Amino acid sequence: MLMSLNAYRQLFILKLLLVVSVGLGLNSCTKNSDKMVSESLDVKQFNVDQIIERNLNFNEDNLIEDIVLVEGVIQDINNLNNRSTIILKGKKDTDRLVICDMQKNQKLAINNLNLGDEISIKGIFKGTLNDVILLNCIIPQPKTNE
Amino acid sequence: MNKSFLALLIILGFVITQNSEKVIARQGQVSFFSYTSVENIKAENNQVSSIIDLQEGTIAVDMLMNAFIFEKALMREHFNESYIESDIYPKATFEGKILNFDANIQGTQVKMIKGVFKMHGVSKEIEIKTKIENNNDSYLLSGVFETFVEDYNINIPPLLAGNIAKSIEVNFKFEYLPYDN
Repeated sequence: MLMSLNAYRQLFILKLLLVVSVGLGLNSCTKNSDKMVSESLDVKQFNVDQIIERNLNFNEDNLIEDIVLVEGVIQDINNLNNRSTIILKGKKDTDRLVICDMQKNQKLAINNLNLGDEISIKGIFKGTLNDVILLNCIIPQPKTNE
Repeated sequence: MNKSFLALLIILGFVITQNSEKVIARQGQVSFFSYTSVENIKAENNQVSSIIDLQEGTIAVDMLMNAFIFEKALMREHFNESYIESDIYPKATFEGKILNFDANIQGTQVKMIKGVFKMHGVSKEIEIKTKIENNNDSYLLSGVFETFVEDYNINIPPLLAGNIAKSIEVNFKFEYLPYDN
């Protein structure tokens, strides 16, 4: 009887481990391919001119895959390639911009924006081509004191 | 006499400026597909940069390898860390020429683009058949071509060899607008 109880316990633990590992495996396979950006994450902050200047000086290495908050003026909002994108410009007269590929859950927030608005956008810094590229972006909502 | 010379300089300057007219695509799309019996892998990059010099017919394309979006996190991880090594080779580039290109033709023309594609530290000359649509000075370039993994010195571990196709289908679409630089 004692032997069968031990065997039962071992079988139960094995089953539990199997369930947990299958669950973890499924989770890693079904989540978005990039890490998700959320309001609560701490970030490095820049304005458009600062982040462009920083990358022109070839100092971007330490920012790649980091979450950054960039403040700028909306030059364009588009849905090219079925993706919501906000393009920010700085105050300096340059052709370099910050391209923000928005998360799908940001559509409502984007609808309230207008060209020329000054906003901050949080996203994953991917690097620089002619422009700075941010993916998985969100528009942080102002905190209320309720 | 001096005034005439100045006028000539201004006209020349104008002509030179016109001759180096460029168009830019800031949000070009490049996607690739790998089909095998084990799994299909698809990824797309929607922030590919490209500039065309309309007079010269030259084209340059620049993309960040870590900006490809996959369906699964594990695919993205393998792509960046094991295959493409995007920390060592962050960009892929193409520099080439659109053969027999006339930027003034409105509507659709199909042309060959010949140039050098550089990825994972390997440069390879390629030719791509491309559809070019010119609609009131905005240009849309699109096409599809096949490329081989082994051409770019990408090592696939034997265990995963069945998951990755030897030949990868690449699709591209670029919408160009006037470049004011």
